Amino acid sequence: MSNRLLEISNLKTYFFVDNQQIPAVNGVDLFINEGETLGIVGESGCGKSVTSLSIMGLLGHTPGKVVDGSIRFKDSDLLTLPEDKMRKIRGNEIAMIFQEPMTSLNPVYKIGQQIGEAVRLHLKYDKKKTREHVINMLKLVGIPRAEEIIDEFPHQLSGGMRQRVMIAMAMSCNPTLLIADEPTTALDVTIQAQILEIMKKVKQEKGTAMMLITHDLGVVAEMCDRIVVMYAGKVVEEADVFELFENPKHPYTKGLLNSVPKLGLKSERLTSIPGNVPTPANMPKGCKFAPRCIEVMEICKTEDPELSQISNGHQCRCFLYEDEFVKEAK
Amino acid sequence: MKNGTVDLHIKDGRQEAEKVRTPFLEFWRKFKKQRIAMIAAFFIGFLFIVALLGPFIAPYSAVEPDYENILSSPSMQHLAGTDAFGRDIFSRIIEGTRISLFVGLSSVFFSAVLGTILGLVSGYYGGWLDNMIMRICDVLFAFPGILLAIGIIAILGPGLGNVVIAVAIFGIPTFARIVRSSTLSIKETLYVESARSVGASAKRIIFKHIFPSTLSSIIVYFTMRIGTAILTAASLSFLGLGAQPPSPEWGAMLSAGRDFLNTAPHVTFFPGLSIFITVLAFNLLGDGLRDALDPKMKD
Repeated sequence: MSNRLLEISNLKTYFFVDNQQIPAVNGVDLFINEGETLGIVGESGCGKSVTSLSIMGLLGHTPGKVVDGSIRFKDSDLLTLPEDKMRKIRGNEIAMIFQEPMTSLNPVYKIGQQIGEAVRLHLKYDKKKTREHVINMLKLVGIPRAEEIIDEFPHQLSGGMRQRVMIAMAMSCNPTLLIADEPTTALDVTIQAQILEIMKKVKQEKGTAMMLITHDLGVVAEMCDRIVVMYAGKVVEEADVFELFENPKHPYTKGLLNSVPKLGLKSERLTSIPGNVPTPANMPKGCKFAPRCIEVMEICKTEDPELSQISNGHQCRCFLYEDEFVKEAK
Repeated sequence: MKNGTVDLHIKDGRQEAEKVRTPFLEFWRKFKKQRIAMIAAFFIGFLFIVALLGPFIAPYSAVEPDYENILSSPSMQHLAGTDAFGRDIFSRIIEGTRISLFVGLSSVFFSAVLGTILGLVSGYYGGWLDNMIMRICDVLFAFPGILLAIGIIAILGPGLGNVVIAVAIFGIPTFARIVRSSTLSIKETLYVESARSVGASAKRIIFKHIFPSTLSSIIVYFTMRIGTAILTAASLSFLGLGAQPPSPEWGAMLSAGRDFLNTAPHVTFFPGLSIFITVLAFNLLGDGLRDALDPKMKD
């Protein structure tokens, strides 16, 4: 097994609203190895983004709170790290790209000042060196005439350009882990491909590990080594990218894959998963997916299955495969 | 062919770079379209020059009495007439400009600085700190402005310096509230989140990322507030709590002239007019600034 970079175990992040406890992330286990790309897939509201915010320790300004679990990054537990140490990790070791490139740049600063902020905070470069570094980063993400763009304001750039700037900003301190929260969702399809290409290139050049959060299976297939499928705050399936596309196990994963149109196949209607994600406030008692599952059984309505191994590296949370589970030697 | 395209790109880039629309240029473009605000701005600029040159351009001394010319009406010698001690009112108004502008600017400056810091801290951190600051502001709001100022002067004693302090104190809560409300919305924006995600400290986020975006509402209120501050300071002087008699403060001049309101109305008319026009100019400028700085106003 290669080196673990990040290991999350039993992470529980609850939101406290109106005296209610709402479990947004409810016991997530996942890991990322060095240089690996992990895709996290799931519908909106399944806890993907909250997981990433928990890693970054950015829940402070939301009603959310990590109530249990641990997040190990390299040699430290991020959840117990004091704020000033955490600040040194943010941007420097773990960087983040947000979904909305249009609003994630501060309108009052020039591009160069914004990218330079992280560089000066963490790498402690002087003005001249920072500028050179920023220009190099802009060139790396394929921005033409970087020397001029550096002095422009965000509103002068298009969405695709801004997302490139965000990537440059995130990569500017050579982080070991990049968290990309739906980096292409807000972009045109043609631009999406370019951005993904750039992210791939930058990642390869710098050897960065990546956690790609998305609901776009196409993006996942293109980019990721391993995939974690999340549903209602839990991991329901985890597998190698080929394994998952070839041999999906969990009914939810199957449903997701079936709801993607396929070229060439002259199929009838596009299948969809009936129903909606249950709201965290009123979760079903047994398996969280049971009310929407087409292969639902009696046991699913009363008991919640465990995440168990099916084959090497392939885990699934479903009673259907109870016989196939590799019994853990104890 | 490929070289050709690249060249074109560079050319386009240069042309664009020449007319880069910085936020300031954008503001200026909108502001200069507003005639009235521009006139107000020029007038205020003129007032500042008068305030700076004061004694050098005043035709007579502002304090030396001239018993030959008591309460004489406006004439070519005395453009605005003379007061009960024969002092040239026009000269006194010119020298009083300095006092009024100083009181207005300095008191609003203090309330803006303190109010902004309180508002930023209160909006950003929230919780008990926010509650405490806002409740104190509520208490200050509960007093009618002038009454609060009178109360503060009663504690500190009369005098122009104390007027500045009094007017400054009762401006603080409004600034704090304005800044707090913009802080509340700005701290939720993605760019603040992304600044946090690159490891910026709270102090850095507050002053480098949130403060600049609150600046436009601060500038607008600052300008409008100067008018009110000048008016309040003049009222306090009128009541005898601010500038003391020989001083050519406009409010004090009004107060000194009120005994002769029937026989020599010019003694109160001209200082009153100065206060009126000055306050009006600051308010109009504030209006113009708001229209130019508000991103929702489209031209």
